[in-house]
Amino acid sequence: MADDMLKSENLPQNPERATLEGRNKFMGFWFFLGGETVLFASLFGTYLALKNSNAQGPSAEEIFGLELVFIMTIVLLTSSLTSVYAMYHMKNNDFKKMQLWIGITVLLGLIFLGFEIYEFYHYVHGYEFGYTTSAFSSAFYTLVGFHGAHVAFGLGWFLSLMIRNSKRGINLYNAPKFYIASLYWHFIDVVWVFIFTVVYLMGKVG
Amino acid sequence: MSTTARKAGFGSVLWDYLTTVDHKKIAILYLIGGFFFFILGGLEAMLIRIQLIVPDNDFLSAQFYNEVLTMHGTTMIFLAAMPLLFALMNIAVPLQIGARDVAFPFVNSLGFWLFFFGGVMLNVSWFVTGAPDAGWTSYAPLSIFSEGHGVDFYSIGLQIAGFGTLMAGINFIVTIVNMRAPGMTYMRMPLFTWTTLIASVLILFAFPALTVGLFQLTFDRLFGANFFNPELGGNAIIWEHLFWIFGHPEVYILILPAFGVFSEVIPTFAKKRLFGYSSMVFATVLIAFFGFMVWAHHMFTVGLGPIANSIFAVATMAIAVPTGIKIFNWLFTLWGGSIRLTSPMVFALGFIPTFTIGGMTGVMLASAAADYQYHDSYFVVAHFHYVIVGGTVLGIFAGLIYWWPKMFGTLLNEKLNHWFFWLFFIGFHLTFFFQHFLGLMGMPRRYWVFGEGQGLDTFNFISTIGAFLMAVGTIVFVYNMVMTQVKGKKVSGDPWDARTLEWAIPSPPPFYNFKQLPLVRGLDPLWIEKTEGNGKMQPAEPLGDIHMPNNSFVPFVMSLGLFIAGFGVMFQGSYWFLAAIGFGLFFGSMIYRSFKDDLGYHIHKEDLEDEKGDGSNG
Amino acid sequence: MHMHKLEKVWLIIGVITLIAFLTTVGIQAFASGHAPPSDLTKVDPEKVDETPPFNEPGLKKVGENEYELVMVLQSFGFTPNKVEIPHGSTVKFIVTSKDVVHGFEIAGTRVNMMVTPGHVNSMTYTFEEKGEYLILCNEYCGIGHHMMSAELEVK
Repeated sequence: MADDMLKSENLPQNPERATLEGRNKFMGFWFFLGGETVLFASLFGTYLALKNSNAQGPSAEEIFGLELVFIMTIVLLTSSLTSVYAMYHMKNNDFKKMQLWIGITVLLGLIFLGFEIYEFYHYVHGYEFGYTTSAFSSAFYTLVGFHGAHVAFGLGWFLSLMIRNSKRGINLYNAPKFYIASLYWHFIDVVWVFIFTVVYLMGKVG
Repeated sequence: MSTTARKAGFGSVLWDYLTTVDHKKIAILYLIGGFFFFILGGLEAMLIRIQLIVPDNDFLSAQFYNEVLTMHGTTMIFLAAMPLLFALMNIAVPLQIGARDVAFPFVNSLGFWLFFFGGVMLNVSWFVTGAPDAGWTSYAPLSIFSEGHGVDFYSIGLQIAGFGTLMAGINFIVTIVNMRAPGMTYMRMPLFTWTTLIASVLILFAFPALTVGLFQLTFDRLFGANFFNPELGGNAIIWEHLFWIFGHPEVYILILPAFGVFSEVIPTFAKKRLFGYSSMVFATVLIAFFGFMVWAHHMFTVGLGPIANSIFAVATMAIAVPTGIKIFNWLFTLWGGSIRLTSPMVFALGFIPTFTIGGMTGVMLASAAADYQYHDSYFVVAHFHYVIVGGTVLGIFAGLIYWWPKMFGTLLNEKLNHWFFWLFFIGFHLTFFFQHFLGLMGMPRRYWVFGEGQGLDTFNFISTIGAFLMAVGTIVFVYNMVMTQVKGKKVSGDPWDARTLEWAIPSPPPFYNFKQLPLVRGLDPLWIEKTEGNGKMQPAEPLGDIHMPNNSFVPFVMSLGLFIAGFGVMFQGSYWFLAAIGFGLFFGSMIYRSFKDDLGYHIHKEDLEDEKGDGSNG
Repeated sequence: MHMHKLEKVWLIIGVITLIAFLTTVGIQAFASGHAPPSDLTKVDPEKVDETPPFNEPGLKKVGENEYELVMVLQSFGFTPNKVEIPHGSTVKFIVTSKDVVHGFEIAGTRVNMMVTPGHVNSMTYTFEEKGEYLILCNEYCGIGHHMMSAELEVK
């Protein structure tokens, strides 16, 4: 039975949920995301409480520019779509195409992260808006930085899965791993949609 | 791998426990860790009571007293009560639902080691710059201004232990949802499994709020953030909200599993089915639901506005109703039963009136208007010790004595257990009953000394005497545990003539738990087989290969990594290399684990057939 | 699922009790307005001394038998720390903190507030009995917590 786990032939329709281990991972990860939701909700709550407390530092309206953030949003949303393609190919047991689409997802994630680092650099050096400037700046960097750290972790996760499995195909053992990594990626994407709305749009307009 | 007992050297036993992923061994680890910290927290409590035995005492310095009272609360809640409950959950829940292990054995072990290193981290503070001194609630901005590294140890230590708790919670939810034996429907699950499920859901949704609060506290103290610093626009009340959004559900995380224990013990020793099983489940879910809507009742006197105060007062009082339903259900179960006064049962009978008193004072505190008289007085101290000691701690002891045979295959000495109960119970009431009056007389919490001639002397003296009785009781229990293991007299798999699945297999169970998964035919499955069948569970599957997980040292290394990294983050400067080593170990272990396939192994059918016995309790 | 008849009755009783309970408390709180006092005013903790009314802490007469007592709390004391109040008068306490969270409790009365830096808290109380009252800090505030007190005399 243990050897069957590593075979790539004759996979069932949903290889990620075909074994008990897979179902456990699948459900456990959904619960984990529930906990993550509370984590980000607490960070959002703190941010909303402190967003007008900029003390002597710059305010949200003064520093935010929507152009770059809009591009970042498009990039991340697209990467969510490409990870869906990857999962589609996983279910069809097409390993090469799955690797390709995960590769594209990782690339888009890297672009997003690059933009975010540029954005932070720009705030710190262009506006003297550092982490310790005001309560608003601490709350902003913590919320967006937590999300950024999640993106970086997701990239490392995808990369290690790609490298580890590059010499073998999809099997019942690694299918759940790929699947929950892509679930995680969708979650990050959803959080970003909220950040875009609550932090940037409401900061600029509200 | 053979299951026949062979004499193993100390080294190999130690290595076995360091790497184990077996829920029964993890239960023993939780028991040892939790009990160690329970003793430590108890010693801190004794120091507090000795300091307050006479007015204007100077047994401890004011600073040391503050450290002791902070560490007493923190240790008892996070490092004693929670792990001891996890010990009970780990031993009982997988067996009660007829599973061979938990859903994530690796994560289970990781959860334990994170708790352990978090607890060690907190207590290292005694030797490095002094322990945390801002109270177990660590209200900002006092916790920001606190000098030395005490509060840093608090925030980082609890962060690490908190991750462990969160993982244990997720593990239990998935185990209970996915791994039940054939026929074990939700409404046939034993109440302890139900309360574990609900408490785990509470953990899942409450602990992340604490994570965020602790992160903010850490960043404020170590990296110059301004969350709680009013000078640069921060708001100290955010900490209070985050802390209590976590902190109030935490109270139910502690009490619900204790309710579960009593709901197992009472039917067993009354020889009667639990009265109102479905209303018990309903009440448990309702308590958890309300538990999330009441956090601000810790903050009535902050001045949140009349509407907020009223909503939180209403929700808080509403919790009294499902709790009352439970109390009556236990009484109805006792009514007409043939009661055996074994020690777990005596603990259960002691619990009912004690917890009811705690619940009554809870309703008094919940009415926001009346709270203005009690807030932050000794009345509050008395109240929460009545619910936490009178509920959770009595529950833990009842459960520990009840499931001890399942953990070790031996039975604790009943006579000593009764001695322990009476010493502890009388000591407890002497200590805390009179603190109600101290509070009403106006003695505030967390006072280093109290003045002479204020009428507070007598009650404080009685209170300290009571604390000594509790200490003596605990020593009796520790002696009992040690002597029982030294004698090592084995008992059968079902020494209490009990009702649920865990008693259908030998004590201690084989490492694969069930040779064949049992077929569950209703609530109290073993009792059904005893009364309607031949007293043995019917198998739900033919004898076949059993899949088991591999042991792993990785959880230990990961937790050690975070422990080391914590020091680097705290001391910074030339200590940053510690953070690099620690995080390197942590993430390195994760990569190692994702690169090394862990498929587990199989016990073959033939080996199972060779084993003696049919896997039943006989 | 098998349910005993008595258990069903008991479940119904439980639900009815819950509804009755919630309704009673709800009516009390919202319709009859039995809500505790509360204050949502904010103040910059750096500028307490310049911000009215905290620039002049102390007792002020605002009407017939009505007073306002403004107090500033700081580790580990109250300003002012000795107050005299005429018998039978109604006093509105207005308090804030300059550093950490303190408590404001007058032992033997229902006056009890949490005093958070950056926030103002207030409460009204009528002194019907003569005598000396002790004002205490009951919110743990550090090493001098047990020393932090003030006196209030009703004549």
